[in-house]
Amino acid sequence: MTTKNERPEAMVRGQITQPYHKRVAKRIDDTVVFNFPDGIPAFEDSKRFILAVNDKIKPFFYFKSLDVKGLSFVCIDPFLVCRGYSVKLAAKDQSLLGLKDVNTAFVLALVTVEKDPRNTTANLLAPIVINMENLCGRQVILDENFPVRFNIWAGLEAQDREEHRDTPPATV
Amino acid sequence: MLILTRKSDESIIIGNNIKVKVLKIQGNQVHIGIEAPKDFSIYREEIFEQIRRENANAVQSNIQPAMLEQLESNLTGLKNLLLDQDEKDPARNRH
Repeated sequence: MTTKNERPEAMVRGQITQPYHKRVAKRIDDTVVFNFPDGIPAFEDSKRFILAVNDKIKPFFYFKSLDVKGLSFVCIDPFLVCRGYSVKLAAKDQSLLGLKDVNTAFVLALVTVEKDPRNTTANLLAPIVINMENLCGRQVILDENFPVRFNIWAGLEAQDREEHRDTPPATV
Repeated sequence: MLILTRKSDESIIIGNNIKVKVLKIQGNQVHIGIEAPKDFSIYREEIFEQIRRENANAVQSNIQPAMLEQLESNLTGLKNLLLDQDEKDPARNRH
């Protein structure tokens, strides 16, 4: 089945399974201001954010508040770290974002960076969703049972093992 | 806190547009139905609190320049794993 055929169905269910990351990332620099009318949980006063692309930490981004001085996060495209990931957007969230087509939604996961990079996690339960048409964003809480602390390292290593399962090891 | 006693199938009204109904009581579980305007967010408290806590954990605001370097170097290992992924999947790079 082609991607084109899958899209109308994805729209009906309000489900995002395809990364929009590549196309959108090109259009983002730190002059693009995203509006979060409700802030994000624990930081409800912060209504405006920017994404700072920094080659040093690519594919991670900095997600910085314009309203609360010094408030910044690290985030990443969750589809990159968890292959089976999908976002089923509730009708309520779609309406709050003014989202007419889920394919214009840009999804990011907030990252909790730990001293040991192997313990760094991504929040897959509550992704940041931005409607790129109107630059409106919110942190949504999904109904699915995704982890709040998804271990990025372990996840990637598991993906890696899966990919090599069919390939015989180079050395025996 | 206002405390009201309700039976199964009884409701309470909050303001003029929110209705909370007790649907079923089963052992120590209560099934609650909520009717509210669609721009109201409704969450299980423990899940909402978990998200608040994790957001607070994820904040990088206290990072001094020296720590920022540390953070960036911590991310490098992960970054390499991710970039490997990307190169394995060239279709993603075309757009």
